[in-house]
Amino acid sequence: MTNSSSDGPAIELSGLTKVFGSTPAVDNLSLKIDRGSTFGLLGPNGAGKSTTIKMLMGMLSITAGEARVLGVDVAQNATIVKDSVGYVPETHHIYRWMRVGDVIGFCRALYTTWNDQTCHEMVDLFRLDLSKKVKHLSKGTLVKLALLLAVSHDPQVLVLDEPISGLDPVAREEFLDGVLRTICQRGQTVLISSHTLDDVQRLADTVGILYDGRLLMHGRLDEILSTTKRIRATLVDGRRPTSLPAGTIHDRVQGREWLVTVSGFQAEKLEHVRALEGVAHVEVADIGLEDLFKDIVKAQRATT
Amino acid sequence: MKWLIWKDYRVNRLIFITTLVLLVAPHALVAISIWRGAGGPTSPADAFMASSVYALGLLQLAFALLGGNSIAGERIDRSAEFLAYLPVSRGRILTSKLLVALAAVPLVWLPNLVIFAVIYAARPAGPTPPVEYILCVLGSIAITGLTFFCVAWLFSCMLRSPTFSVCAGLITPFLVVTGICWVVYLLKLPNPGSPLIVLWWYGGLCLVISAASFLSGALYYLRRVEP
Amino acid sequence: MKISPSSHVPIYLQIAAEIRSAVAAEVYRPGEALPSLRNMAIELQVNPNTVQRAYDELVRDGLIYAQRGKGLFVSDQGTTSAQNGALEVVRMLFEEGVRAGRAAGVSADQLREIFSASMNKPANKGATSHDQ
Repeated sequence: MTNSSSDGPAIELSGLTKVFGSTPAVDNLSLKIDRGSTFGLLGPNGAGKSTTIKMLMGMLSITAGEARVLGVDVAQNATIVKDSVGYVPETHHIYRWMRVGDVIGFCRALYTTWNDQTCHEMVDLFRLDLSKKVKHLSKGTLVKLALLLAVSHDPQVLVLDEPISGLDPVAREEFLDGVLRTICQRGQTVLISSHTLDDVQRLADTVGILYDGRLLMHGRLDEILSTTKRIRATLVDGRRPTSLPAGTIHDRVQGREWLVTVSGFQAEKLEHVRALEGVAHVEVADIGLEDLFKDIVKAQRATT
Repeated sequence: MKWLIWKDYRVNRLIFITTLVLLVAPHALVAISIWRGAGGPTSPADAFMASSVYALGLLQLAFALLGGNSIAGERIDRSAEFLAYLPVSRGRILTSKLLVALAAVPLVWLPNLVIFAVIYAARPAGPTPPVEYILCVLGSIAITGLTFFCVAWLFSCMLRSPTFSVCAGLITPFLVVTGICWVVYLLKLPNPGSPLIVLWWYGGLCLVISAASFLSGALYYLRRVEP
Repeated sequence: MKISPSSHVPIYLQIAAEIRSAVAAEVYRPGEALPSLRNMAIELQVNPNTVQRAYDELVRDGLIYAQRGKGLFVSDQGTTSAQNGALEVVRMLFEEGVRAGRAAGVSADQLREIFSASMNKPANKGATSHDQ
């Protein structure tokens, strides 16, 4: 029943689907996240990131497909999954009437692998006041408390759902600090969903781009960025060529400037563009994650 | 488990305080009026017996409140979404809530039964209501309280509104009584003679409804994935 | 030290470049230890694996070496190697400038003019990358 192998992927989603009413919020999503890696799940608002995360945390019923965390099927054994995953949600609903110390005591009693030392370290790091009631905490402090609860039980997997949204720069830095400390110390697998690309680029080694519930692209970040290029050319008479190089994600014409974002870049693709009629001054440039993300989303929007 | 019980107690603390108030208030009122000599023809013994029964009736409200607040109470402030990612099984969650609700039973019944029994046993000579009569009254109150709780519990397991769940619980015994009356009227049943038969029917139906509501509520909650 | 995640240069190369220029400026001297992987990752706010890659790159270049259990140290040729590396960077920048000029249709004479003019400009004191 519990099929946890120690060298399988940390998170495995197979054909995961969630339908609300008649619209699929997550559509046949299949993804493997290796142990020890940091995976950035990117996507615009409403892409299905939170829905996916809630399903793999056993907090939302799955319409079709399977989600396995550390080899355990979430639909069969949600409690085991929750015990080995540290989760920081997007919105926090910790009992507002509890004091910080009470919340910690409450969680400590429920997790089987709670580490008091880690907890004390985090309380000191975040300078949390144990006697303060949750309803009196600022947003930044609340998020830090949530992170403390997530890491204090030495989880093997850390899942962060848009953790940085709404934080001021100082709180953001403190939060990232806390996350990095725990990654450095324990080498956990981290899944972070965000639409702030900056943080994902810092932390993630693998990324996946979600749009309308579907995974449009995923792989190692450095590979994606090194094999995806932007070809810039001048269109002599301003007419967009009809033949595009293979692997074109998106192209845009602005006046006489033509920008083509191409994945899996090779010299032949450059030659293909150079050989086109009405095209001159062809150059290749690197593309940043933000521009790539925008192009992927634009391309999707154009087809729907 | 201790922490869960503590949490559930704290979530329902206001209800327990209300229970204490409803427990004390009727007796206090009687005590005050006797002390001020406003008793009238009723003896203090009778007055306290009456206040015990009255308190018991009033206190069944607490069970409706406890039932209605059990699951829906944590949905409405979304704290259920926090509990949802903690590694605690639905079974343990339910058990904790049940234990806290069960704690209300002795709180409601014991003091009043004790007052009632003491007065009844030490009662000076005079007309005494028969034991069966008293048992019927107390039994009906108990069964009504059980129905309040179980129906409110069912709605609380399924819905997000504790208020609606409480109301659903409160309304059910009245619906049962109304239903019985309508059935008797429509089927033109002969007058039963003693109210005991109606009471048996009332008790039986309420018991069935309570059991069914409680079980389906619990099963539904155990199966459900969403908080 | 700062890195810019949105830059097109991969983060690990940025880190390596920052460390190289720190060594060239003798912020870290030969024989001195570099900050641990963990501390560097936390300070720069990047994934420790990225820092590891940067360190691996620098070890490969001979700028630093690993001492088992003790960490990473600047090698003796470290400073010169870094300074050579800095020279490489400057060379690359010049070549880039020339290439851009040619692409824009600037003549060789104009390029030489630009070069002399910038050589004659007073040196910009204090504007190093360590002033962050």
